[in-house]
Amino acid sequence: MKTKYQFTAFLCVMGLLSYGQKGIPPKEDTKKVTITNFPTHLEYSSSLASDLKTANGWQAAPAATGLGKPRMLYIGKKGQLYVTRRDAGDVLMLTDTDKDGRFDDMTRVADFPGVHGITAKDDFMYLCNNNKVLRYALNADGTLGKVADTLIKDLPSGGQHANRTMDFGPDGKLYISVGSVCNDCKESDKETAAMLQVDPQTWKRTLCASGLRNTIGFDWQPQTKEMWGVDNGGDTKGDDWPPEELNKIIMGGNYGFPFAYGKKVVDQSREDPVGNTKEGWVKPTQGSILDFPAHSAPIAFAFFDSGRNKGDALVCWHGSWNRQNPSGYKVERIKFDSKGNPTGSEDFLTGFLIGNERFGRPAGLAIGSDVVYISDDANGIIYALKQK
Amino acid sequence: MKKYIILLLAAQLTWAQQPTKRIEFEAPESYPEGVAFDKAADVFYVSSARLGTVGKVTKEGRYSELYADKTLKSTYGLKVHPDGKRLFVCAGDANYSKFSTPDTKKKMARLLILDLKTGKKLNDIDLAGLIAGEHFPNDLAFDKDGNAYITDSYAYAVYKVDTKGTASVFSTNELLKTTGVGPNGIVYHPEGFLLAANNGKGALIKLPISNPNSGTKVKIDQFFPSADGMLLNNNSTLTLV
Repeated sequence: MKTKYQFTAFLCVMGLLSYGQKGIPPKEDTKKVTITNFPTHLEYSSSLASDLKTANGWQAAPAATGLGKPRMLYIGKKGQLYVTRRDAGDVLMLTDTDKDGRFDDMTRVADFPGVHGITAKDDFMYLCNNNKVLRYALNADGTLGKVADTLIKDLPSGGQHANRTMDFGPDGKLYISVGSVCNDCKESDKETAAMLQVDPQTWKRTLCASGLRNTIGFDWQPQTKEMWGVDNGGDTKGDDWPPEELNKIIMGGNYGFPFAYGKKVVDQSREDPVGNTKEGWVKPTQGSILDFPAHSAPIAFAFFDSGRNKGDALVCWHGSWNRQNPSGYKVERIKFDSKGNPTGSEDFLTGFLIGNERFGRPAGLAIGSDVVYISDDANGIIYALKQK
Repeated sequence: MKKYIILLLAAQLTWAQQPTKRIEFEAPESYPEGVAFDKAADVFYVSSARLGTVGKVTKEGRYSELYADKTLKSTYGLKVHPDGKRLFVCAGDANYSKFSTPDTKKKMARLLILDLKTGKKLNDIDLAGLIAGEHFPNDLAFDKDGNAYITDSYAYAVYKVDTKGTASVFSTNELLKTTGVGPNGIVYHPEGFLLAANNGKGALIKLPISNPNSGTKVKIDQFFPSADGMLLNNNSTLTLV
């Protein structure tokens, strides 16, 4: 008798415990159709490149070819272009010695497995891979010191979204974007699916914002100094949802992942969070300011800091792999009004997608005083865009 | 100075030669890095970045060990000497060796000369003493007189080993410098110069034999970061990996 009751009690407790680790599951079944469609790769050719379309008043030309998988970009003090190559695990420095608009000289400046994020401040260059941030002395010729300081070595493991990026804000603090480890889960590490803020005096970090699935591109609006970022929405929820989001990132903000996307639209396929409902959890979160077509895959995002375009931003859409009609594969300009609010977007560089084929995937971005550089990590090209 | 147009063969180029049938062979764990073809014997030789051995591979894919030596860590570029009798092999410890030790890691730089008939070592020339610092003896080429030129990826140099086996520094031209792996593949052009691939600069550096420390960058349309081995097909065609 005793053992039978013990066993029943055990089962009940186990049942409660399993509900306890996740919340109440949804009452109704959900069904989503996921399509994979990897547009066919086309090798680069100069004729395909010359067919690219730019926004009115801009022209584009390849500034460097043959670079493998160039990812994030950074313009150096003398106008050199630094390029991180995550797969090769190195950083290249490109120089246009004869000032003809094409890079003619290149050298590797660092070997760092998995390197992705790059920024510089004063006489140092900062590089990160999925769990380390290193600081290198910046030599006068643009090369880096041989030995780097390890500032941080324990960022949470990359999982599905290992492309860390970082930048110094107007407040002098270093911000690091750490994507989610999964497509769609309640992260157990608070530092994943988050924006971290690092104190450059102590190199200690705090949580700036959470609920950001993978905000690779972020920057500060030059007039308002507010922080903006573009977030990658989840997969396996159909062709048209969730949208990619443009968010205004505030300290302490929760941007909804994994329970809501876009303008606080709840993901009905999920179970509730423990001790709450999805709707209850989502209520105090931040909705997106602008939404973009699902699966476009935003990578770099940056503002024009000066000149006649000051205040507007550019975003690189890497392009979809799981949508019947491909989205992305272009660079868009997001217009901001004088108050620093985004008002809409328009094509800036298109033509990478031709039917269901693609000869490039825009990834990295660097905006100089009179040139915009865009990296294509599918064909190894850097494009330079100038305004006429 | 004539400018040489370098055409790079790639499988995608429609006018190019198609790759030949793939030859598969078994040499577990060896990581064959260098490869050389012996026309007379109709066999390939392969080095081993992980085990430091030198192997022979027939066209049917039969692998056999040609040379092994307990002191070796990794073997890299290798070439059959123009006399057809000897195999020159770069030996170091720059990356993947199973037997790496702190004593040899990035320090060892040797040129082995093997007798192809017997598989015995004829000479073992030390290159590590020529320049201070780290070493990675990577690849080699012969000039028309049978002198060997060896790239050192970490010393950013090209060494010369003459027909008597005497080693010297041939070039430390600025264009050979970079961060990480520098000079990698190397070929000799019959018009009297070497072409060295600088892996970190993604460039081809032209080094005239008659004027060693001079060097110029070959003008190419694209960069070749991580440029590795090369072969000169003919005076106007270079294959680069």
